[in-house]
Amino acid sequence: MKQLLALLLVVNLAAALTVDEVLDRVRAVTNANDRQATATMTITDKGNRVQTRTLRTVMKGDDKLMMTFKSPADLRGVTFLTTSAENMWIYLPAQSRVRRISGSAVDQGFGGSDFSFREISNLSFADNSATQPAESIDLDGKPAWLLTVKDKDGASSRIWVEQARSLPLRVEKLGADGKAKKRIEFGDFVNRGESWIPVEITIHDLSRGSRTEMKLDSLKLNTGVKDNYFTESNMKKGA
Amino acid sequence: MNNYSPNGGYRAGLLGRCGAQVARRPLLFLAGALVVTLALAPFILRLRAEADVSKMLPEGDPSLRVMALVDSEFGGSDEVAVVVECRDVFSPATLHALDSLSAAFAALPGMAEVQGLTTLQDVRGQGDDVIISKVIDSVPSDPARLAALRSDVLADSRYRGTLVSADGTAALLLARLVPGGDKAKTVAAVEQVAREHAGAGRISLSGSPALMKFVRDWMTSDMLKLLPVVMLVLVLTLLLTFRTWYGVLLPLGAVLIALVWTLGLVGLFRQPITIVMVVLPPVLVSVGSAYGIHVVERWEHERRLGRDPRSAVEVAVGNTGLPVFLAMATTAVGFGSNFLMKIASIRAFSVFSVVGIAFSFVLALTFVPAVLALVRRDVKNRPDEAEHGRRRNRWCADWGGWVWRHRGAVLLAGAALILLALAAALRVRTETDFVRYFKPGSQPTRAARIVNERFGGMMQFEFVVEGDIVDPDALARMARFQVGLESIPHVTKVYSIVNVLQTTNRAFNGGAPEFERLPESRDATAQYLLLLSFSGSEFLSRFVTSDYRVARITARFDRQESREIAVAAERIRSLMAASFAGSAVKAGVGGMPMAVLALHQNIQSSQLGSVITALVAVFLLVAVVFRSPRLGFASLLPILFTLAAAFGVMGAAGLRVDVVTAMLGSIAVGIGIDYSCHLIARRREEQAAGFAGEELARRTLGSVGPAIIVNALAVGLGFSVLISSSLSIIQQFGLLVAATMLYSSVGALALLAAALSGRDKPRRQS
Repeated sequence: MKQLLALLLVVNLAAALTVDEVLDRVRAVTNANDRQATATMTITDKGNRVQTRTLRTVMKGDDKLMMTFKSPADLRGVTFLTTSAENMWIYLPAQSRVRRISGSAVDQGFGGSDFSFREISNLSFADNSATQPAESIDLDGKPAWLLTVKDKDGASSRIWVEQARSLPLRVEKLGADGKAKKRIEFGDFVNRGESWIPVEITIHDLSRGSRTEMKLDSLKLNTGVKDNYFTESNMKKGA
Repeated sequence: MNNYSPNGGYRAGLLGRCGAQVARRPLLFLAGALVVTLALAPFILRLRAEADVSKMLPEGDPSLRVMALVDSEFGGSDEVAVVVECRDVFSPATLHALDSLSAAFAALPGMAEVQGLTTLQDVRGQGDDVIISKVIDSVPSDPARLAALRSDVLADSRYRGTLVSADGTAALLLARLVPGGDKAKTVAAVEQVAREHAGAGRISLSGSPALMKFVRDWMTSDMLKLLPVVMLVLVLTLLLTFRTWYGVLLPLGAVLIALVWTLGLVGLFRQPITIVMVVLPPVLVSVGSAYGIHVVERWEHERRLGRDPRSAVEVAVGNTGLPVFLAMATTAVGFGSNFLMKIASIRAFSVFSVVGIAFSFVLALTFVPAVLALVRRDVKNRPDEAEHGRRRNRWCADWGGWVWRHRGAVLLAGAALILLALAAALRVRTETDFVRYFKPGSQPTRAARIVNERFGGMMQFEFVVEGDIVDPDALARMARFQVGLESIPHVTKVYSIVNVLQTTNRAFNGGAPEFERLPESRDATAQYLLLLSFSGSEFLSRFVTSDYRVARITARFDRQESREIAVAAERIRSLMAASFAGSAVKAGVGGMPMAVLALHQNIQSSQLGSVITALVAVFLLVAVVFRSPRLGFASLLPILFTLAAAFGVMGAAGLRVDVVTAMLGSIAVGIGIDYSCHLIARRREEQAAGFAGEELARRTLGSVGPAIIVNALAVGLGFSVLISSSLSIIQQFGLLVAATMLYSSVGALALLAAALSGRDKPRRQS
């Protein structure tokens, strides 16, 4: 009887949470000041052609991200840097030059993958606001929240959040017709200190029929990466 | 088979026994026809129209392999070209309208992508910035920015004459369709959107999916509109001839039932109604009705001689059965010879026309006599309308006598005409340009002309290059190949990943024109491609696969005539061989021009073969059935005359052999031989009755002549209805077949009659 009451209490509490409260919990458990990892990106196009790329990623907060290609050989040393949504640079070793990339069409995809630069850098779901109340559902046998949110550009997403640990399990980016265009699945969460980080992320581009899997190795959190790490000279050192 | 006896007496053969069975159990045969009709009719609802040129090509055609690669690797190449004509493309209202049109098209189901001034992405260099954005990111409103935009866009060869006309008064939107989707449905939706945006300017649609949809719509409406008119013409002709209800309704009813059966089978086997198959109903109605006409004519004849309806049926089927069978078999051989053509739709026409003709034959010898056996009404035999006394028979008998007396002159005149016609026939050329399907001045023809003249061409060559595309040598070869392509007349707007890399190199180097060249190293190429991924993988996927193993080069062609394509294709092939010789990469060519050319070559290579096959088969059939090689050769004479006249007129009138008129030769053989068969059979009958010389000629033409003339009139007038078709290709076909009926009947009633006059001793029945 006590267990039943406890369960009812949990359910009642769960039902009472707003979307913002759920997202706050997600941010709280996935938060880290900085992250470093080696990412292996496996891109499978609609024709089942597979390409594998490895990158060194260094990230601070939601804005600062530097990614350096380690393989394949012809991309080794190519480095991307972003310090805000508007500021993106690329270093091409073959040209020995850093160039700022700008324009409205930027951030459609990253390195031929299904990830956009923003999707790689922003796991905290910042700038999202609720359009509907959080819905309590069952996802693969786990109690989960289903959140329907809009970002600042007005694009809608559905986010499934595991209730027990407040971890994001799945995100669907919706098109104007309300149908899912992209699906991102987070898996294999590892615990570092107070943070839970997914080391396997798979993104499916449902309209193109392609998918990209990203696996993180050598994950380090909160190592004290300085702001001045994200500079042009460090981009060139990536080579 | 039967042996003929004088004046309607006969000895029953297989067909005679068939006649006896029909006469005995008419209701059984009528019930059988009803059951088959009810079983096959529902499948007519499955019929669907198809006008895709590429689907006419034989499997394994090299251009199809390239097209399949373009479909699977690059999202297809079927583009609807939407032309927007206006006063000024660079006015805010037009630019907004173009943007709105592009967005509306892009949102349609079955639409893969829309390219236009307001959607196309560009990579530019400006100082230390590489700018990846749309060509027109937002529509400017102030005059200075608009003027700058006009100046920038019209100065850029990538956009001038590609997406906007050089004078800025027309814009082009290229709406690419998803491969394998319902193209006609998507084009219909594009038309609807265009109608809703009529304020943007004068909007017209071109490009192969749009043209194919127009062909599909127009041929479907033609079929529904013209078939009743063909039947009306047939009814009127039959009414004038027989002046009885059964004389009108029975041949028509039989052929309509045959048509239901045939179209039911077409639906059952899920064969599409193509531009070629659309002529099947009029062909079948016109040709198949002849079998019933001969049976009714003979039945009337026997009734006038005093036979009761049932025994008249027996004799009519027994005596007309053989010539009708022979007419059917030779027509089937003529139509069947089209199976030798490598074009899928012509092959389908060949199969179903043979099936339809066989059905018409079966119904003429079962359904028609079964109803006649039930007719109780007397056939009037007025004294002035006795067999050879009837006016039309008398005229024909007089004609037969004249031909007999002037046979040498008739044959000489025939030979001279054949030679004259053959000389003109040498000028006939094949042309498979599908814009010629439409009438001059029609919307599709006008739109195609605009796209050809102002946007570099409606059709696009597609090249696929397979190998290590990032390799500098491969890219350099592609670049050289593209330069060579641009030097070929009428090849315009050559574009590939080479151009994209050249532009990116320039952009990465501050926009300096001297850097508009390929990167020098493999690494630089790979790194630029990575940079370009920022503008979305869709952008690159139009030019190269994600593993950089297959690249695509596109080149527009500003002509649509297959002869022009043939000249360009030959140069392209040599250039391709020279450009990629000794390289690890290999290249292939496809696209709509190559599909049109493949049709052209398939028609050219197989048309003569199919006509010769038809001629040989007809000769063998006639020689075997009549046990006379001489008659076999004689029967070819009117056909040769018909063929020479048909192609001679085409040559003199400057008409081209296209995918429909390609069948004219074998159809002329198939239809034309009927008259020869009837004439030879009747002549045999009269010979067996002991007639010879001028009397034999008079009796032969006097009896069979009217039926031949009525049939030629019925078929000729029936086909002439096609002249009112909305499609030029069908109009020409109708006109040519109608004229062919005239040549065939003249060939039989003059040339064959004269040729047979040489040896006309009486053949007494053994």
